[in-house]
Amino acid sequence: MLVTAPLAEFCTLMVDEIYGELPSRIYASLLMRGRSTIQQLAGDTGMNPRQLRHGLALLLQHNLLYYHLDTSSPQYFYEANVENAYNLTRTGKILEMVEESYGAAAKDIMQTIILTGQTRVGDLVDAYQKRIDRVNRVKEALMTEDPFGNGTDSHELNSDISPETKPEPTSPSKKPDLLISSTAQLKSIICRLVDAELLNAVHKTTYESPEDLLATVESDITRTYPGGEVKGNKAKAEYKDKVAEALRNHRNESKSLKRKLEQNGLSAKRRKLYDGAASANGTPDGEMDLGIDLNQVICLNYEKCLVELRNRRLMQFSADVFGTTTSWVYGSLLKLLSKEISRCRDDPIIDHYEKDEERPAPAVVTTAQILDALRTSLDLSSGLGKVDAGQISAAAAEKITEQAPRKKFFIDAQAEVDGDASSDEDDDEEDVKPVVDLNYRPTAINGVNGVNGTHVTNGVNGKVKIEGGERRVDRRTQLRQHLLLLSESTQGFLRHCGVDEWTVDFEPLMGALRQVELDSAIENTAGREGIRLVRMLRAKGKLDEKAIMSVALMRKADMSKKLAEMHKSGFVQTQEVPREAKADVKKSFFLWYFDPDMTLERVLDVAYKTMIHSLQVLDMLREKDHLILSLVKRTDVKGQEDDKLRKTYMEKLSRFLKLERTLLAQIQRVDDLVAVLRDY
Amino acid sequence: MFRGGRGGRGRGRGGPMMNNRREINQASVPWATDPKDPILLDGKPSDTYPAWDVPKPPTLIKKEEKQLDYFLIFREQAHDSPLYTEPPPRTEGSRRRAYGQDQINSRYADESKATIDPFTAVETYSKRFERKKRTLPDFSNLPFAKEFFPPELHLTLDGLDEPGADRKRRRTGPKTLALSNITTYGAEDLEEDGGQVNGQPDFNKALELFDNVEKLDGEDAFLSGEEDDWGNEDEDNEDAADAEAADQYDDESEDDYNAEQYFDNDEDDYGDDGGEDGGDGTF
Repeated sequence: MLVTAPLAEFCTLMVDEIYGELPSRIYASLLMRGRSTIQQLAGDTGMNPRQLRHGLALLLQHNLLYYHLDTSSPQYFYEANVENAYNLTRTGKILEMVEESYGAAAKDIMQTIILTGQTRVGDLVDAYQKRIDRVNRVKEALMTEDPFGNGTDSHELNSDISPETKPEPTSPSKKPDLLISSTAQLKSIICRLVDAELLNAVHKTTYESPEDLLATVESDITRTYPGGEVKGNKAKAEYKDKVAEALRNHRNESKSLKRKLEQNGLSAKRRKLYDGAASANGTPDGEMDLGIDLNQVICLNYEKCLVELRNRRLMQFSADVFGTTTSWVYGSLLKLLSKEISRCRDDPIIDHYEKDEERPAPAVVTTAQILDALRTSLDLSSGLGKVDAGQISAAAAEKITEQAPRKKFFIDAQAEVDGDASSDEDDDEEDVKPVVDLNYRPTAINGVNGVNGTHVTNGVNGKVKIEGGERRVDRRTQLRQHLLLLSESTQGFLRHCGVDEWTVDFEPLMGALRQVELDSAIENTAGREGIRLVRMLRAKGKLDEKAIMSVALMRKADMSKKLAEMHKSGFVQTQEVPREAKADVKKSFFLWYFDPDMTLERVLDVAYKTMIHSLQVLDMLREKDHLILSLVKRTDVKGQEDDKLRKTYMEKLSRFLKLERTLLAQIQRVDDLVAVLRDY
Repeated sequence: MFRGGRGGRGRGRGGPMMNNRREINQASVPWATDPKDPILLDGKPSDTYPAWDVPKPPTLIKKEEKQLDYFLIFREQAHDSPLYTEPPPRTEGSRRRAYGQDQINSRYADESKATIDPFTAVETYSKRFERKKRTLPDFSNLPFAKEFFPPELHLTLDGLDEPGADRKRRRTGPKTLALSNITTYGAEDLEEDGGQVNGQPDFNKALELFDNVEKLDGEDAFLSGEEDDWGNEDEDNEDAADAEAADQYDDESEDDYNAEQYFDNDEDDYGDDGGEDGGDGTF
């Protein structure tokens, strides 16, 4: 991630907002000066070493720092981890996502883990055990005191607890009042989160910054070459591969916990679990205790969280394009697919493979898997239009594209040939398919022309005469129609990569989504005329003003005004091309063009500044109402603001809270945009 | 705000006035102008308070509300943790634009006895309800995976990184990770969903209230007033609390008539003990 000044400032403010002033001062200095030792920090910030040690320890505990011990000097160098600091903004989203896909108990644990930063599993178990004991004790005390909840001295308490305890006064411990009712449940949820890669094991290179790690690995590998030098093209390519592999090994170490759990039989249990309950929503009753090592230190894996958040964004995108039913199908497909995706974007160094064959194949999902994962309550027949069978080209709809779309290169004859060959293969395969999939033959046919409704389906299946089976086949057909619809889209939601096999090429798809987001950003600032001009420039490349005029059919005055306005906000750029050897401003051409990368940078910059501004305004508001806010924090007022505060204060407080929500919501919204443009 | 039209600059060179708007002169601009379709400039002075169309964001959908709630509660829990360091109140100086690191540093250094607000600094009864401000994170009660920290920070994580560490009592009991019981944020939440969070009865809130009640109940509340929700889950730790109370009384008996210490909150490491600390570092 490129750390620009606004991004650095925003991260500092975010650290300040959540962890307080001391760490944020240190963090700001680290961002501004780069890696520093404690002495250097002391010189920069004017804090004493004791404060610095406390602040650094705090930052490190929350995974906001890297540190490195140089072999040549005895000093530890600290460096800011900007990704994690930025990701603090997304805490709310991550928690909501975890709650939706893994249940409220998982969210509770996740929140604790984010709150503590890195933590030992054993400590977590102890803490929860203590809470459970405590609740039991409280409950017992209440039980013995007065089962009907109108006790004398703990009046307030009873009014709050009684809703839970009253209905079942006889079985105090059976009904889980707490989200986590036993440590076995806690462990099993941790296992599930580890299995989903949302939690990572902390290992010895976790706190090495990527640059340091790269340098270490590179120097180690260079030493193995004769003379400590890499010579020749072949050796260089080999060297690159070796570096990438070593880095991958380091990265995979954080998955060690998952591997260990898998050895202990996690996958078998998981299969059982999925078979039993199709959705992963229910809380398993503590049967998945796989002997997780209590000494293991775990922390949140933001990369995987981003993958899951991206899935949700893509689902929303598909809902915008096709409608909700199709988006549900797409959502469950992505969920299945992302089990094997660890991060949104590949690292150019780490995920470098010299030969394409070595590159791991993209994850693939089959139709049957999706059908199993789909909720049975989802009505697949809705959300699809009906077209006459004759209007659909079966071959085009069912076309299988094995190769991922390539980036355009200048000379790519080889790829051309490959592409041809593969399309031939596709044809062959299509011929073969009915033979291979004998069972599914009717379905495949229906998948093609079944868009015209259930009449044909029934006609074909009528011969089969399986009452129970018909519905299922029908559902499968409908599912296939949704999938085909997705794969036909120009945005490239889905690729039909084999017989009943589907995959997603995230790179072009995210490019499409990014373009949509940029377009809407431009439209919001420059209006419809602006976006029209941008689209023209995108399609045509660089254009002179006269040429734009003839294409855009706009008055010159309007157009120049609009272009100048957009140039000011960085959406279009100009290039001056002199007519003669001697450049003269009045005689040269001015070509307008649209550069998506520059626009993206500009939009990101504005986004960071908006977020900074929101936090600054929030700070200002806090200062304005600081007397009330400090009053609310008092222990005798907290929780009973209604009774203890005067009406005018109450009004002021609620106004402040409303404004605070507005500002933070603004940040969350802008972060959605940043995520699409930068991270997904 | 700049108001005042174009000054003398464009006046002589501009074209004829049309409806209070002036055509721009070809000679004054670098690009070619079309005589049939002139660019007109507005000669009017701008309004003092022009109408400003403030874009309003669409209202939050339910999912976003939830995300925001979770973020706020997370923040509240983080602020409640013993590691949170509350910023000192802002002053005029802290708002001013700073040039250079020295000025930035000087923003923070101004909490000392000289800058105390005389209207609020006097000890009153209600002070005991106030949350004690922390200027340094308190690591002493929490467990850490020390193997992942550089050795120079280990002492800090043990809570022993203090000038008088040897003199102070050392915690001997096992350290436990404490869970925060805060589940609400803001007064509005209380009104809205009563005892229910996300549609299910929430025991945590009861716990939170219980904590408050416990704190206010009896003598204990006074002594453990400075403990917060975090460390307090542990009831077996009463010896520690006693020791602390004893400490408190000791301090009081020693400095009963020390006027200097009267305003002192026991913990002002922030501003002015840089001097005594400087030589004390372990590196």
